[in-house]
Amino acid sequence: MSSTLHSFEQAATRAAHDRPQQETVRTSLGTYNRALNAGRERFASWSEARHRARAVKADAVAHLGEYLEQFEARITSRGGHVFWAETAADARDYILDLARRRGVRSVIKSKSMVSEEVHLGAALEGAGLEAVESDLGEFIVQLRNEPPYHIVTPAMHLRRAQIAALFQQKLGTPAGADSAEDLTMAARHYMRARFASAGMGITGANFLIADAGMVAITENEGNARLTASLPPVHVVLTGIEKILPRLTDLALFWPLLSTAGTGQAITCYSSLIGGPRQPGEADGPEEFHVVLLDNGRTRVLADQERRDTLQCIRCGACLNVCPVFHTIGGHAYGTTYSGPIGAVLTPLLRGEKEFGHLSFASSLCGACTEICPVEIDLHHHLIENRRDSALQHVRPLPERIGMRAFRWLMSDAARYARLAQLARHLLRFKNAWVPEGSPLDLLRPWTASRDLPEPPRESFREWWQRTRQERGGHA
Amino acid sequence: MPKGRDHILGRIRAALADRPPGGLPEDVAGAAVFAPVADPLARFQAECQANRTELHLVTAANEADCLTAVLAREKEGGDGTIYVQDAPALRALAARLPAATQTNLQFAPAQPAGIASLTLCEALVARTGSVLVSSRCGGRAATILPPTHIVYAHASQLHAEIDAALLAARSQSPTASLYSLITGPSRTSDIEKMLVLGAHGPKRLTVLLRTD
Amino acid sequence: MVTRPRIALFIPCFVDQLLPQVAQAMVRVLERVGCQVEFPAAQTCCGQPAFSTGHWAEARPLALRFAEIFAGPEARQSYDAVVCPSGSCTTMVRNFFPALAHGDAALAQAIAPLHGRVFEFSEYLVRQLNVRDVGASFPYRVTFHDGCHALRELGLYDEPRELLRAVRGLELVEMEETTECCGFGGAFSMQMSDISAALGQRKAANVERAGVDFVTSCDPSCLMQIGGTLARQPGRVRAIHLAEILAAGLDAGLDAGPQDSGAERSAQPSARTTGDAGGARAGLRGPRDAPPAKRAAKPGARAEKRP
Repeated sequence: MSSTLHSFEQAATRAAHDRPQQETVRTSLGTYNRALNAGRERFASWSEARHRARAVKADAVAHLGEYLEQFEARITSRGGHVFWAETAADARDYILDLARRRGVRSVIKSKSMVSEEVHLGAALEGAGLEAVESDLGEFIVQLRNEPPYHIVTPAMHLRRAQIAALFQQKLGTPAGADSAEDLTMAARHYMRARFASAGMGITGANFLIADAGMVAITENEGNARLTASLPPVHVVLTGIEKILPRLTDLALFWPLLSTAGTGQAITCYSSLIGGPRQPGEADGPEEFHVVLLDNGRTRVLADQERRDTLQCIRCGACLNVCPVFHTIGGHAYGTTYSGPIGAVLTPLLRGEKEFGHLSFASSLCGACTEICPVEIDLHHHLIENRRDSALQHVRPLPERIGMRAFRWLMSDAARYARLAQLARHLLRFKNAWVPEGSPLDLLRPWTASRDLPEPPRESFREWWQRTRQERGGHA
Repeated sequence: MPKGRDHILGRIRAALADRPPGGLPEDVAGAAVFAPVADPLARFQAECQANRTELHLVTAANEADCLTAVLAREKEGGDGTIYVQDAPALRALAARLPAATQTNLQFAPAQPAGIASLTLCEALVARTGSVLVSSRCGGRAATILPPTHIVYAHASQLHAEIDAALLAARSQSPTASLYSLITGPSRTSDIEKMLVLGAHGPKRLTVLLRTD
Repeated sequence: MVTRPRIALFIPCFVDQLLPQVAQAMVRVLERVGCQVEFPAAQTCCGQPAFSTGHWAEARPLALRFAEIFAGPEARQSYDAVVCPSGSCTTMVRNFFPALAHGDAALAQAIAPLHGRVFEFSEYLVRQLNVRDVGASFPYRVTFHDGCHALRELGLYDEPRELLRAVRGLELVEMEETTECCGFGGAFSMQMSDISAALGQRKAANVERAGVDFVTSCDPSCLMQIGGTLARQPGRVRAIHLAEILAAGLDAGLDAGPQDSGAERSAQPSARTTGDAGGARAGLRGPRDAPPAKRAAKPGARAEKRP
């Protein structure tokens, strides 16, 4: 058993029994759901919006190379730099070199899942740089020294009282200052000094606009705007798949992302950044760098079946509607991207052997596919991932043998009928003699928490044969 | 350095050897997706109210009084300065403020934030009740750092849709390094989904909209 | 001229072995609405357990087998439609067989004639036969659980509800989160049993809160999960398949005679009076929660409390 599987099983089991945690998450998602439903009403047709968004992103993915080159040319023409990072290490090294060259001592970051993906925070700290997360939720989990719980709302698992205690301990906020307003203002105050002194600002990107050659960043707090405005160097760290062909596509994608992500009609700051400070501008960074990360994405691109996962706009909606995510939360996955999209994408990016089990952590209910604003066929991809796990023989031996036996059993009706009848007898025998859910009970994974129907004396086919065929077929 | 670029683009080309025929839909946010905005001004007003933008419809006759009243309410702000974008229309407007008002045409983020900033905008969007600014509207920090951001706009800048506003901004300020579509004051709900205004950016967003 | 539709019963293996009363009830309802029903005895399993755990190589021969039995030249002569009391197994045939057949020309050719011939039970009644009122009586408060496959793969939402609304005496109550997964998920229920159980408990709590006597669904697997979970809780709500409700209170004697001991387990009420809730005792909750005599009395006792 791989270590990732083992830690997943432990964490998932623990989380599945943690009802208070589930309630916190459910309460938060209840608010989200109401906003989402109201948000979708703002569209004349939500399904048409999804359909067009899929078409646009599918085109972006199908012409990825051309669009990226177009994007790069425009950025370069304004004096910006574009770096193509093949791996996480390439991305980290480039940013660390840049920091060294610029004599940077402290870095201000705004939310970026790609920076989580390449473990940038740890790399910056390792190089002796102070790196502060400026998004409030991200800052809270940074103070707790844990990864984000959710790709859009990183601190959704925490209660206000926990955050108040954390701020008291780490920031020295007064004991009574525990309202959401107080805590937000404490973070704002703390962060203002960091913005002013940071030698480098690092943001992610929501979209890369090919025809305009600009990076689109969506946020509510204004921290990304500040990150892109105050420090002398601005670095955008993002994946190559974030391309959108046209500036005008944002008229759909900004409202779509906001609605799916938070239920808002549009987020507070929807910004486009195309370079460093230009001649005649009052302020802005001296240097502007875009780091385009591959890190396995081109491998996904080569997979015709699951290429559409590169359409993902990281809205988090599939997590929000996922009953498994509701139950085990974001940390149990042990990966940067959690929930359905994480369960589909992580095995593709990082291998079935270590992460294939995530595709099995789903009841395949399809709520993710139903909500996905770019129509990624998420739950069917989970089955395809499972197929690949089976083909690569990374599934447990009992399952592999069991499935062979299943096929053998079901390949002959008489064999099936005889053995199933025997199994019913054995099951009745077991029910009579083995306490349900006890360690001796082979069906314990089911019976530990659920009854199983008592096997009938007569199967349907036996009944049919007795009542219908004896009477000479149907009436 | 260019090695990574060549490798990635090479892999993309190889991966897309079987590229499926696709097409880019035109008018992605057209009537089939969003019902057309019938009355842009009425919609803008309604959306501003919903997203907590303070909107004042003004004319040449009352704009200075309105701005004075807006500023009189502001309490916060280190040195009490109002930063004003260096533009003829705003210089003229600032000149009509009460004599005691401290204004500064050079926005300096290193100094303590003042009371407010007063800037122009590139366009307004009726559908979402948004203000589109660029780095040509007093710089990048002027529209995000102060506790209050006051936007001076004209009704002729109002567009029904986001794409029209973006295209207008690009043709007016083609070399701007930043555009930002601002919808209401800065906010967060990262703590128990409770809405707090003024997370990092302005706590108050005020629009003076000239209708004459 | 009206001809009786000739139906091939597609009975999921676990229904065959563990829940025969569901299939019996479906037979009864189909015959009641004028269908001629046959059970192709060579059928076993559609192969979904292998498919959804990724073992497609084991699933393919079962899909091929299924196609030969239900859509081979002979079957096409004999049956007008294939009807199944499970949204999930219908989904396997309709939506997942094509995925299995991708790149397998022989299988693709074999499954092609299945297209447009395989239906989930409520779908068949409402969409194909245009039947809503089958003549059933079931004087209880009932909530409907949307199985994920029936809802999202087959697009069935109104069909079962329309059938339930036409049942005499039945009060349909929508529970909270009715479209949220019950957590069964096939092998998931065993392999990730803690997660599955937690979801089942949430669903069961929603059922309990709805204040109903029964929870029903188009999917017997969901009902095993929900009913099995409810059985461990103090409440007295039972799980029962839609077909069992639709068979309740139908005039006896159309098909099964008194010698039919299977009817003991079927949803067919023991008496003709619609007030008798005999159908209730065959609920999926399983017979172990009470001896038969007591169980027979239980729904009646509940009924007494009703105004």
